[in-house]
Amino acid sequence: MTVVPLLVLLSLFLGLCGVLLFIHCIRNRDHEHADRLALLPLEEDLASAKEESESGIG
Amino acid sequence: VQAVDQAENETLADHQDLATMVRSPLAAPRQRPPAAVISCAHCGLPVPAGRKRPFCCAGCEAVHDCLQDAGLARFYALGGGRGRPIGARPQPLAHDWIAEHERAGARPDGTVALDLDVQGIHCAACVWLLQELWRRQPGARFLDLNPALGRARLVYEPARDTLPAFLGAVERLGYRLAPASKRDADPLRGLRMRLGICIALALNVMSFALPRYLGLEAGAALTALFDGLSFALATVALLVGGPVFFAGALAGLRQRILHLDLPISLGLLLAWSSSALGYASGRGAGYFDTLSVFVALMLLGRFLQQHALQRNRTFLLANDGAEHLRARRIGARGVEPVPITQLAAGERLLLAPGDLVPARGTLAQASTFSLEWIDGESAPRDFAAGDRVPAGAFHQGNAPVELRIEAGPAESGLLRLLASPADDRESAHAGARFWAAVNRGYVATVLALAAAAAALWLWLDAARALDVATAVLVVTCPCALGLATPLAFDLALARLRRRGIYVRTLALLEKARAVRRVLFDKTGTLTWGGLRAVTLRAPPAELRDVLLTMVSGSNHPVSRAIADELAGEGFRFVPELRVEEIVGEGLRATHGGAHLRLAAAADDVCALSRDGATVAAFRIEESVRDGFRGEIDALQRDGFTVELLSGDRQERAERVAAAVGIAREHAHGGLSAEQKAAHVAAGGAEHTLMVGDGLNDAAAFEAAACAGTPALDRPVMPSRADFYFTGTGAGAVRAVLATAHRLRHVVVHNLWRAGAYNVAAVGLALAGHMSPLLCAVLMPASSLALIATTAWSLRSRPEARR
Repeated sequence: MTVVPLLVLLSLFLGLCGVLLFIHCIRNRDHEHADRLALLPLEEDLASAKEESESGIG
Repeated sequence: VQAVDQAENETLADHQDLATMVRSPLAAPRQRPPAAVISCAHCGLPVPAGRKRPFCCAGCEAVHDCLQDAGLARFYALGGGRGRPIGARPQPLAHDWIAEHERAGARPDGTVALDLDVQGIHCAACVWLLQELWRRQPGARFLDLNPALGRARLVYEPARDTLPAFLGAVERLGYRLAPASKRDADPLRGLRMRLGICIALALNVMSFALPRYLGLEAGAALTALFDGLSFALATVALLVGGPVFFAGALAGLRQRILHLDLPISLGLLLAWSSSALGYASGRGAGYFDTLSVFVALMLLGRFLQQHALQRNRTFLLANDGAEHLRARRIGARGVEPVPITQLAAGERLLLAPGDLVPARGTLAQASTFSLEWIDGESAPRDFAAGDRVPAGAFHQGNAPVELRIEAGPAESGLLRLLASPADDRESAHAGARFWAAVNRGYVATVLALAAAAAALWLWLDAARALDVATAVLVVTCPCALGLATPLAFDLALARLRRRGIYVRTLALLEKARAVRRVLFDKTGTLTWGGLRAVTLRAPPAELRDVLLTMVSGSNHPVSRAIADELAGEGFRFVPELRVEEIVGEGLRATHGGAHLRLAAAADDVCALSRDGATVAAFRIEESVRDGFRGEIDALQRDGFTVELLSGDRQERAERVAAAVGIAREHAHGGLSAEQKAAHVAAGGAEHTLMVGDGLNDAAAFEAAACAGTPALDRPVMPSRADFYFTGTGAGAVRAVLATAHRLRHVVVHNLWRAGAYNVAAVGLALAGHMSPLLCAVLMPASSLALIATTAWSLRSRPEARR
């Protein structure tokens, strides 16, 4: 039973770290990076298509 | 193919919805929409009658062909089957800023790194397209696109003309790139940060409230810890999120307006006070969980609303007016590009074809200029050597000319014309009487109910009076107003964005409901701004190629119109032909010993003569945007008064009015900017929607309740308008009006639903049966129900798709 308060404080600490990271992202305008990450598969497609054309495949 | 079919069907459904919605508020008779509507193969919008290929406008046709020819058809697959409407055929822009920026961005390894703003990016398909085009350029090293900000970082080898080639390629597809000038400051940063923190806090407070709702005994060892944490975190949530609403409520009170933020603020403060009192007196955590969720939800609503508008505002290049315009100054070291703000009287400028005249000056050589932007006159005007040309004219001549500046851009009035208006369209016609009435009624009712509850329970059981009054204030939280309404607004804006209509102001969809009169500018709005030639007498077969060779070498709008009219099946260029263009006298050439001359033969008629005898003739008319006839007919059927305002001559205004179905008495030509504004005011500005594109419409924009513009290539007008649109523009006005009515319909229904919920919840609270647990269940449940019904109401209807 006594471990619960410890776990609660630990989870709160992790939550606080999350909030601080979020604030850091907003301040550095990195939060928009999520949009770019969502487009990464397209870049991989491009890279593989380029490699294929260079190696004469397709 | 399936995706394209679906997108086309959705567009058809939107089109049909629109016809129904615009009519219904005005109680006009309903009519069945046309049975078959062909959708544009590029953007999916309906194709106006009379177009030869399945495209709604020349821009969509050109971009589609370009994508197919370049092997970039995957764009459609990535973009959900369709692109966005384009409008006029995209024209390449002047890139005289490149050299200056390349010098500034040079790196030690010989490459150049540049940050550019991008206009036209809206989805992953656009990103793929730009990346693919960049990859194809020789010397391209790296491209990083930030679609949220509309910003690109490019690294390349400047010696290989990488950037000009890339810019040419993307501009042909309707995108525009310019030196980075958008403000880096994120206006939503504060709200975004508060929202993120409050969501994190709300989740934690809820997790601490849950054990008690699931049966944790009040006296258990952990209860004190959980209650203490709930109190601390809810207090932080109030301190972080509350000021957004407190500031709004205070500002409203100062102006004696009962703002929506007032009941939100009162609910927050009372919920926290009574819960804190309860916590201090050992009665548990009270409404701390509800309070934290409420703060997060209200902030989410506020953020949704602001984010939708911000997205539409950052879609275009920065509209800082003259700040980034360049002119070619003739100096001791030759011709150098300089910012037009640095120009001074007495300096000499070189004006290339298509250049904007940045300052009033006198011409060294004769040439042709378009004053369309200044006074709305569509036909270019000839200026002789020594004539004075006003700032804001566009050089339409075929060769560069020299201009001696008489007055700098500031004295010429150009900077004043280009500057964004001082007043904000949000406040200029706040006209939100509906919301004022709703807020006033809501605040008065809730406060009266809370007072009645307190009085009733003071009489029944004084110890519970504060609890009951607090319960009334908490359960009547304005979720419908604070969350469902912004969501409805966001969804409505997204629907319009799919049609190429970008709303810039929050107040538009409220003001548009009052619109009963729609005024259109002529040149550039109802017409494409260019000219169209109609063959009256076709040239003899042996002269067709000669005539096309003559006109294809000329930049004069009449030459371009004749070339467009004749060049449908291509032509054989005649290299030996020597063509001479004389300002004011047309084109001359000698072919087979005969003297050819192409010149104006009468008003609006251009003729080709051979040795003095006319062999071909064309009527030159303005190129009316496709689909506007149907749009204006529909508006008039629905009871709107439609008028045409123009700075051009009365007979030309009447001619275009007749072409689009506007009655002659509603065509007003020869109007100055001030006269246009006076006309708007005389007919009831609060019921007027003005659609225009030129600087001469700016005063009318400010006078009218609502304003829209298709002038995206002149990033001055969008900043003065409530909305801007791409594509032909046909349907844009009705779409805005219909969306305004539909949004109100959804909001009113939400208010009824919220009212029913509040009657039940307040009944429970007054009877003393409301508990923090019941409140914690009812409040999110009612919010979720409203969100679901809002999304459902604004969906595309499946039955219409069939």
